[in-house]
Amino acid sequence: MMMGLCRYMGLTYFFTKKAVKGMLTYRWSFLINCISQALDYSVTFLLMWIMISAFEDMNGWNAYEVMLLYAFSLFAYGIAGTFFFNIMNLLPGQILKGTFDDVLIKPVKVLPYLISSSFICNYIAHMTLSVIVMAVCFKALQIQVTLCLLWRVAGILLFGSLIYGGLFLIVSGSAFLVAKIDSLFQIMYFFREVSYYPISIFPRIIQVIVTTLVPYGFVNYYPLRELLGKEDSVVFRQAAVLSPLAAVLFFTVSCLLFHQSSKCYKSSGS
Amino acid sequence: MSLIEVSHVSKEYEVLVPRQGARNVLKNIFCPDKKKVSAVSDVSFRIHAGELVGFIGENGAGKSTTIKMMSGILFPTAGNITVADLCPYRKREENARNIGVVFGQRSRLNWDLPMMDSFELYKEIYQIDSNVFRKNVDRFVEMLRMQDFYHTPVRQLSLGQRMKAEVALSLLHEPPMLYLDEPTIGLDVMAKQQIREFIKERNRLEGTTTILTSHDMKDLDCVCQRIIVLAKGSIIFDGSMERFKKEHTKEGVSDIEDMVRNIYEENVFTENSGCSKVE
Amino acid sequence: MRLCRKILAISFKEKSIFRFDYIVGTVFAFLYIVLKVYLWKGLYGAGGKAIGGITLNSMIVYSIIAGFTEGITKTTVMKDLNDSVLDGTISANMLLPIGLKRYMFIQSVTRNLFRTLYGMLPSVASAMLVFGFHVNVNLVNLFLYLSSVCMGVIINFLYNFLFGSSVIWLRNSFFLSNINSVLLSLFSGAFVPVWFFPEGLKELSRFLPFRYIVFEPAAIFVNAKSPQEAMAVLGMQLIWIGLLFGAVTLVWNRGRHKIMIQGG
Repeated sequence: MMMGLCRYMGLTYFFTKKAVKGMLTYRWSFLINCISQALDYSVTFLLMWIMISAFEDMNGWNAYEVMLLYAFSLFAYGIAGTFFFNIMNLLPGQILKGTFDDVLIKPVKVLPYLISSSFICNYIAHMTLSVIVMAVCFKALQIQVTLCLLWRVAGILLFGSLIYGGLFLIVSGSAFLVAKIDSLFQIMYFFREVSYYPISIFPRIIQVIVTTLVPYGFVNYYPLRELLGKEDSVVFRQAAVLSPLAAVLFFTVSCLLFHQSSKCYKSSGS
Repeated sequence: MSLIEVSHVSKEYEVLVPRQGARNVLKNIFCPDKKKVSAVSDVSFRIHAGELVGFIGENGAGKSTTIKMMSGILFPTAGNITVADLCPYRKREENARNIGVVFGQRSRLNWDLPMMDSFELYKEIYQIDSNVFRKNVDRFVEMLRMQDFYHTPVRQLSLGQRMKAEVALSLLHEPPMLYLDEPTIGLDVMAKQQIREFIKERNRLEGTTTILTSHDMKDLDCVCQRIIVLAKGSIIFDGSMERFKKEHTKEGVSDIEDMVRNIYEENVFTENSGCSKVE
Repeated sequence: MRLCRKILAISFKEKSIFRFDYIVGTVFAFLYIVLKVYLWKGLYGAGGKAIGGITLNSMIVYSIIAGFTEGITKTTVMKDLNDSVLDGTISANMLLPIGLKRYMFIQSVTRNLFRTLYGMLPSVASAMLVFGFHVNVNLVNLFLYLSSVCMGVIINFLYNFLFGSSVIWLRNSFFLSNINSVLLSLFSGAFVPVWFFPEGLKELSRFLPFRYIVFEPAAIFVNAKSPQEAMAVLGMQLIWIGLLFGAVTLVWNRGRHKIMIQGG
């Protein structure tokens, strides 16, 4: 087991080096890309700030707190996207053209190999912007940035990225079942968008569904609710402590689902 | 003891048949017509260690499908396959260490970088020992005369050069078995000759069991001792090259290509007699 | 007209073949509306009082209609121009008997119309059923809204065409198109209406055409404007159309000249 982990980490390192090399080769277009992404998200942050400031708050969450939700979600999404986005993006094409056979011919387990080989640098803008917003919000909310806090934040973000990773895998896995999954990419964008807002705005039924079925609430809402000491009414008040467990569970389930779907693979004939 | 054993293997696909016309749009979404297509039907053969076997067949005859099942990419619908005491589609990862595969119509090399980078990647993936790796790389570069284009990005190579690199790639980890799916497609005569020689050398020196599919009869004539002819998913001939030539030489037909064409044509007339294949 | 029908028929076929996309798209359109409803409910809180003169009900209706309007006024002409200039197909399009501008306009509108009607109407209708909020619509208002939307479509098209033509000189309009979409998302009011903007931004938005694409038509629809104010909006839209049309004609004539000399 440990041997296997080391091996795939070695592979990841190899592919990461390749991705970074590629980025440095096309560094100007990469930079322009990053800047436009940063601009895009900055505008969304701005709009959100405008919206919430016009009203006093949203269910007890003021503008900075909601922006914190957004920043946490965006960062976790960025980590997940770094390792998983390319799987979702490229797998349908590989299956259609039959190049997925290549993966099957190698003496590697499919999923760890796909994760190792899909590293991309494109989420740097997301993560940098998120960190800046987090810093600004912590300052505005007068929260002391201690080592303990950083440790907690790192934990929240890491487990959050597992949940997004699981979502990416579920969407990617459907590529084995349906030819074109471009429309399913919306699943990712939708859940990311919904996670920007406190779950307490939804009626109870939706809250339950959203916490058990696709637990995106554990990415940012529940942990931040506890961190910031919010008191808004939500069905599962103590859910924050379950965040790591929920993340690992969800990720494991998605891995299993992906594995099952991959068995349906029929390569396109000659 | 046979190294590769394929017994009574069949592969069927279910294909959606869309109905024409605007009225059927809804039906197409919710309950589409399906049709069973048989790619491979009750195929059996045994291959012993060190053999050089050729597969011939028209497009769609089932050659690639059989190779894919033997590589562990596809599950057969019926029957068993054993390769070196392993079931390739159940123990895919282990089996992968024993095989080298070359797809003529698809490239496994990284397009933008020189072949060395792809070689290094494979060293990582197959966990090849550094000394062995170096030795093989040097040997292949020399045998296939790749020194001139060794450092050129693969994108800029000619098809012949690329195919040599692909063949070298597949043998870096010294697998006991080598599957080549139309490796010489689109190559010029010189390149074809070099690759054929290389395959024969490997088989002679290392005893690599080799299976080669091709549309080029000369490939098979030059390289293979034994050929298996597939038509519409079934084997219609399995035996040595000499026996094939003896049995199918008729008046005025001494070219292998003509012999094979005759076989195909014969089989078109017999195929509708009780076989469960739909096309 | 026949051209419109042809393009419509092709779009229909494309959509039917990729029916999975269509169903998924409609479901998500509906889900986004649901999200917006609860979002604004959450913002307004239990009080339900009107903020800046806009009630919760109006805000929800605004949200939906703004989304709808955004869908109708969308155009990909900037990217299309960019691509066709860079790969040379623009020369082929310029040989058509109708002018390029008209051709691209018809193409843009017909594609969009189809997509909006088929994609958004079901989701909007379902949302209205599920949430049961009421819409005060009288004929005058509806007429004003529709006129405003038509002009919004033209404004967006002209604006995108204008900046799309820059590719003839710039060779790479990626950055420009990105700034364009950023400005549009900020000022168009599709997500956050201009009413809620702080003063500085509100002032700035008066000098830019963006608010006249989505925000103003939607505002008319939710009765946020008296008939006189609505007429004033229509007037402003006409002015913008005039300005942009003038700019486009100028730029395009030069650009066309350049293409014909250089071959695209």
